[in-house]
Parts: sequence; structure tokens; C-alpha cells
Amino acid sequence: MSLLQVEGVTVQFGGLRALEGVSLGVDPGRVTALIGPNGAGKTTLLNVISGVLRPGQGRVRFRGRDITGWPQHRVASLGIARTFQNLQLFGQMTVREHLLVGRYRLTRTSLLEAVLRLPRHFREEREGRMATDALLARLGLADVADWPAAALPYGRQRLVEVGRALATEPSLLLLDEPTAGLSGGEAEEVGQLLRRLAGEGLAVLLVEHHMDLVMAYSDWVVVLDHGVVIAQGPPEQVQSDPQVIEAYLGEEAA
Amino acid sequence: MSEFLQFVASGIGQGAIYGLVGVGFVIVYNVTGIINFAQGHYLMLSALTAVSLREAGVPAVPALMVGIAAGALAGLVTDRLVINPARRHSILTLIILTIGLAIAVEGLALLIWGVNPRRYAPFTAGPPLEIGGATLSRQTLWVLGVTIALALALWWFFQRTVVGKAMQACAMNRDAARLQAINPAQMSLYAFTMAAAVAGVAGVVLVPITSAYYDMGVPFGLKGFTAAVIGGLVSPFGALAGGLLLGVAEAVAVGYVSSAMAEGVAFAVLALMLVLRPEGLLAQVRTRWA
Amino acid sequence: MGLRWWGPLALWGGVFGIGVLLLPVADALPFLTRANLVVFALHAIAAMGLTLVMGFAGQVSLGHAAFYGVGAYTSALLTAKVDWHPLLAMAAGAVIAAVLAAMLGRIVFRLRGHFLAMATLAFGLVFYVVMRSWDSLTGGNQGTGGIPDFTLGRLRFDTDTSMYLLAWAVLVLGLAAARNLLASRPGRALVAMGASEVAAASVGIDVVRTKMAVFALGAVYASVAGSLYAHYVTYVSPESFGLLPSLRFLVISTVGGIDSVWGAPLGSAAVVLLTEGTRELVPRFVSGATGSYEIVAYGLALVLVLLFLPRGLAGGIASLVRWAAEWLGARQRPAPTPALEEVELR
Repeated sequence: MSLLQVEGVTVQFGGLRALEGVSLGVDPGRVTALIGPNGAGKTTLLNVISGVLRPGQGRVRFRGRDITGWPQHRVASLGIARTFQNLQLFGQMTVREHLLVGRYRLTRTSLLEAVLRLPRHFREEREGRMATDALLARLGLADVADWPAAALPYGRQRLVEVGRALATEPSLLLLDEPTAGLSGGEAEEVGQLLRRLAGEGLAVLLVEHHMDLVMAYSDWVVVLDHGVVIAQGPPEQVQSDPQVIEAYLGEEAA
Repeated sequence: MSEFLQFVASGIGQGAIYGLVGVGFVIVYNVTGIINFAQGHYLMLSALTAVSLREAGVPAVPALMVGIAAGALAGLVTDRLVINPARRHSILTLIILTIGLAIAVEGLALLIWGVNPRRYAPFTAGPPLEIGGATLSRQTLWVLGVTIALALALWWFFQRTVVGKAMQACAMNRDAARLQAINPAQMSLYAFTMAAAVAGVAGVVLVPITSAYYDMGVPFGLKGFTAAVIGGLVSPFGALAGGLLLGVAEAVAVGYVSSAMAEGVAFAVLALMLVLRPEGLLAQVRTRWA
Repeated sequence: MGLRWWGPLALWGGVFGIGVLLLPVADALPFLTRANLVVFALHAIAAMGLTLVMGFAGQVSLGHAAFYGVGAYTSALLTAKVDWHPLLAMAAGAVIAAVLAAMLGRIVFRLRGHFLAMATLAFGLVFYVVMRSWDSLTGGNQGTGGIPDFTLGRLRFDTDTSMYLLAWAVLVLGLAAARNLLASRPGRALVAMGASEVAAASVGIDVVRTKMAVFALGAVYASVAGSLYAHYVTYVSPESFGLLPSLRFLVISTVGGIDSVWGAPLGSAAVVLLTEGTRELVPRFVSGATGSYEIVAYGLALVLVLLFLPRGLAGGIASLVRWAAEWLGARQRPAPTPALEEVELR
């Protein structure tokens, strides 16, 4: 039994079938990569897992618990965090504030406690400050902690998204193309970060276009094409799978 | 039965007016995605302009024509002076802009025309008509006739003319329309002007039924919007049908409850429509003209 | 109790002091009276609630005056008819307004953009019609009178000056509460939700509950202001809570700047000046002008601010401060970050 278990998930948009009978498992301590041509349904699958979309059929289980169709915030509060392919930053908030928002599920200060500045507010702010300091340092964002995230270069904005997700202290991290728009060196750093996170026992599900990165840093690769899983296995094995090669060649020819 | 018929007879005149204002909302919404809060204010401008001209002794036909033109001009100015400069802002900002415009126009109307309601005589003099036990005023027939004529003209415009089809293309997909050399800013100008002209026509045929007054823009605008929402917000004919329904519902409320409560009927209908069928409305958003 | 308390105390004491200084300013200006100051403070309190809803949580409300009305009518009825203490009646009004707002929020916040705008508008009008038609409770069009003065212990607020100082103190408390809120867990959650609902939900924020909470909080601000208003004028009628008052709160929030807590007081001051200025000037040009024609100025102000100063007066002032600071070379900032000042201003 994997930490996350996707079983026979089918999603239909009008007449278009975006996912059909997709099953896969994600385990702690491993980076699982989800790859496939454009429109294969990768982001749709992340949306199903994180509760943005309710699947037509199939189940999503987390720690054996059926979470199919749970609202997004309840999924998140179980310890499933995600990033977004098209950045979803919080307007004018600073980098540190983004991470503090990430700690939402770990903190309890209520509206009244905040307005009246009761002790819990100060205690949680102090804890939040320490936790985010550590995370900022780890992500190399310490020097821009008090900048508005929107003022950062694109590559570091992506890191802020990852940071916000990590600030929730998840046990499963869903990453939707975290290296899109990054330079080769920056993508490399993200890859190494993912390895270290997996080394600490985090389960990572990575949607990625950057094939070198997938091959170098993932433990398990799942290939989606037209909403169907056409192959899965260790990177080397998937790389030489004729069906996978065809799916990708097909895309290039089109 | 005859009682109900009487409600219908007293409600459809107002209802057709709500429908016409609703058509204006639909035209602007379809082409630009904006709810123009000032839609009812064009009706007010046209009505009061026509009243002033009639009072100054101008013959009926030119007075009404100039009245309609005044409303249409206000629509054109709305687009050029307020909407176009802010085109890059969020839709919400654009809507609040039209609220600002509506407030300013209402204040101006108060300064020009004062607070007293005014009206002119029906287009054709004579006693009301008796139909199946219900009485129907002659002006109501005028309103209905004008509404039908306008509906046909709009149908023809959107189905048969190049500009009309271009506006429809804009409604379906702004970017695709641009690729076909259709200029959305131009289409927006047409939409605002046309919508205002339609409201203007509604205003000048309405005056013999209901007096014109400076703050009639908001109630007629809201009821027009309600009509449009009942009709699905994207269909002009739906808006007309919604208007008739609303007009009759108000007449029933006046008859059975009180005229003060009747005022609330439209708002309650609007609130309920928006709350109970928001997905239904949004799902239909991609466009239908018939 | 070190800086944690003295810093904020000094800040808010200073803000209160500014309000006191406005008294001689109003006396010195020929077209302003102390009564205008009361209106300024009351409207600022109510509009600040709207700023939280619109500017920070990103939701529109065009029916805000209804909650002002809930506070005013609750205070009016409970103090005039059943003799409750004004403070208790005010609290009751706030609770009713919050519950109503949360229930309403639950229903309407499924809608977005202009649908939400129109639905809040419609609910506001329904409230107005109910207040007008429910004769036995509200007195209908005639309204309800005989509302006693607001009292706190031995203090009686029965003059323009005392009422203004009370309202201003409440406003300062409201400002402090809003600022405390925004720099905290729940406040950040609502700002996050205003910026991106999907991302807010992805860290565990319950978007529906947060919207209901901020709507309720905004309603409490409006309701408290409405209660004070009822005691101030001693008579309430539906006209004060209809569409125009709702739009006036919208104008105040927007003109002042919806993404700063200072926006509401700035916007309220602007609207009072516009109102009194228009009332002073227009009769010189238009003879026999009657009615509330000052709305011309509201409307124009709203349009002009949205077109040329989209972040309102507060945003404009923040930009001025920044330019001045840069021009003086007083502070070197690490990067061109246009929004930094505004963030701090919050």
C-alpha cells in the first residue's frame, strides 16, 4: 500500500476524456515523475489528487483513507501540498509572508486572538519566524525575505511557490512543472533539492517536461498519453520503452 | 381568470420596457463582458430630454428622435471617455467605473431637471381598449409595437449585417475575432451606443405610461438587468421574455400585496435568480442570439 | 511590557491626536462644521469594513449600507423601545449583522465578479424595502425616533464634539484592529484568498469560511457605525440605508484606496469635502438646485480616481512619500519594488 494511491481515475470535460482509468502509487522517500506529451492529462491528475477537480470515476486514497472529492483545503490539511504550473502567488505579499501563509494548517491563531493580540498570536508568529527563516535559508531566499514576491525574477518566484508548499510541512508534495522557465543551472538546483527532500522521507510527485531532469533525479517514472498510463517503471526502463518513444516522437512530428 | 388577464394587461407595458433595457445589458455584456450599471440612465436621459423638448413646443416626432439620440450619444461617450481608457483594467474596475458614471449622470440630471416627475401625453389619444374583460391603455400597444419592431430590427442586424456578425464574433471569442481583423474596441463602441439607443427608445415610449424623473435610472436599470438575468444574460430575446415576466409579476404583487412590496419583487427575483441558478447562467454564457 | 505594547500605544495615541486636531481645522474652514466631522468618522468606520471585504479579501459588496442599517435599527429599537443600555444594543446589532452577513456570504460568495456585485446590490435593496414596509417593527417610511443619547458610565455623548471624539476613538480602534488582523494568521489568509483562491486552498485555507468571516467582520464595522449614527441623529429612517448610501461607502473605499487600511478615513474625508464643497459652490451657478446633487461629485471622483489613481488616495500618498524619500536620497532600497511602501502601509 503506497502513501498515495490513485485507482482507476477517469475525468471527462464535456465530450473530451482527459483521464481514463489512471492508477498509480506514490511512496515516501521517492521522487515519482509524471511525464507525457502536452495535453496528456498530467495537470488534470494533480488537480484530482489535490481536490481541485472531482473525478467522474475512480478513487484517490491517502494513507489508505478515501479522499476522493474532498475539498481542496481538507486535502491540504492532511499534508498534501502542491505548486502550480502557472504561478499562483499572493499579489503584493513578501516572500516571508508567502511562507507564513503556508504554515496556516500548522497554526491556530483565531481572528479574535489576532485582533486582540493575545499570547497565542505572538507565540505562533515567533515560531513561524524561526521556521520560515530556516526554510528561506534552505531555498536560498533569505536575502529577499522581505521583498514582494512579485518583484523577484521568474526563477525565484517558482522557488517561492515551492517554499510555500514546503512550509505546510507536507508528507506528499505535488509539483507541477517546477522548472518551467528556469535556466539549466537553476533546474539542476531544483533537482538536487528534490533529492534531498526525498532523502528526508518526503513523497514527491513531479510533473516535468525537462527530460534530463526526470532521468537524473527521479526513482520512478509514470508516462501518460491521452489520459492513459502507457508505461511506468524506473527511468532507464521507461526511456527505452517503444510506446513511450512513439508518444514523444508523435508529438514532435505533429 | 379575467383578474389575471388584467394583471397581464397592466404589467406587459412596463415589462416590455424592462425587456428593452435588458437587451441593452445583453448587447454590452456579450461583446465586452461588462455589466454597464448606467444602462437605465440612458433611458432616463432620453425620456427627460424628450419631455423638455415637448414642453418647449417641439413637435412629437423630432422631440422623440432627439431624445433617443441623446441617450445613444451618452452611450457613445461612456465607451470613449470611461471604458476605452480603462480597457486594460479588471472587469470589476470597469463595472465600478460604470457605477461612478451612473452616479455622476444622475446628479447632473438632478441639476438640470430638478426633482419633479414629468410626462407628456400618450401618442394616440382615446380611452383604453377592452380586451376579454381587461383594459389595456393605447400607449401600452405603442410600447408593444415598438418593442416587437425593435426586436425584429436587432435580429436582422445581428444575423444579416457584417457589423452585426462581427459583434457576435467578438462575443464568442475576442482573440479569435481580432485575428479576423475585427477591432474589439470598435465593437465595444458600437455595443455601448446601440445598447444606449435601445434604452433611449424604451425611455421615450415609456413616458406617457410612467412619469420621467431624475433617479429612474437605477430602478429601471436593475429591473432591466433582472430581465436579462432571467433570460440567461446572453440572449436578447430571453431578456425580452424575462422583462415581460417581471412586469407581470410586479403587477400581480401590486394587486395582491402592496405597491411598496412590489418594488421589492424585482430585487428579490434578481437575488434568487443569481443565487439559485448561478452555474446555470454561467454555463450558458457562450452565446445565443435567438 | 516592553516595546510590544508601547510602540502601538504611541502610534494609535498619535492617530487619535490627529483626530483631535481636526476639530480646530473644521472650525477654521468656512464650509465645514463639527457635524461634518461626525459624519466623516462614522462613514470611515463603516467603509473600513467594506475595505476589508473588497480590498483585502477581494470580494465586492454593493449592499454594505444594509449592515449600517442593521446596527442603526437594532440600537434604535432596543434603546428607544425596550430601554437597553446603548452599549449592549450596539453589541446586539453587531452580532445580528455578523450572523446575517455570514449567512448571506454563504449564499452569495459562490458567485464571482459582476454576479456577486449584482447579488449584493439586490440583497441590499431587499433589506431597504423590508425596512420600509415592515411598519410594525421599523415604523416604515416614517422611521423610528426617540433614540436616547449614547452613554458610557457618566459620559453622555450629546454634542457634535463629544460624538465626534467617540466616533473617532472607535475609528482608531477599528484601524488598529484591522492592522493587527492583517499582520497575523487569519489576516494573511484572507489576503491570500483575495489574491488566489486556488493557491489559498492549497495550503489548507477554507475559502468559503474565510469569505464568510471577512464578510461578517465587515458587517460588524458597518453595524457599529450604524449604532453610533442612530444615537447621534436620534431618529432613523430607511432612506439612510438604501442604494445611495451603499454606493457612497463604495465611493469612500475606492477613492481612499481599497488596499490600505488608511483608505477609508482618507476617502471619507475626501467625500465630506466634496459634499460640502459641492453644496457650497453649485448654488452659485445653478439657481434653485435641490436634492442631493452632490452625487455628481461622488460619481466624478470615483471615475477619475479609478482612471488615474487606481490605488486611491492612500496609494497616491504612498507613491508621493516614496518619491520624496528617493529624491532626498534618504533611503536606498535594495530593488525597484513599487509596491513595498504599500505593503508596509498596511
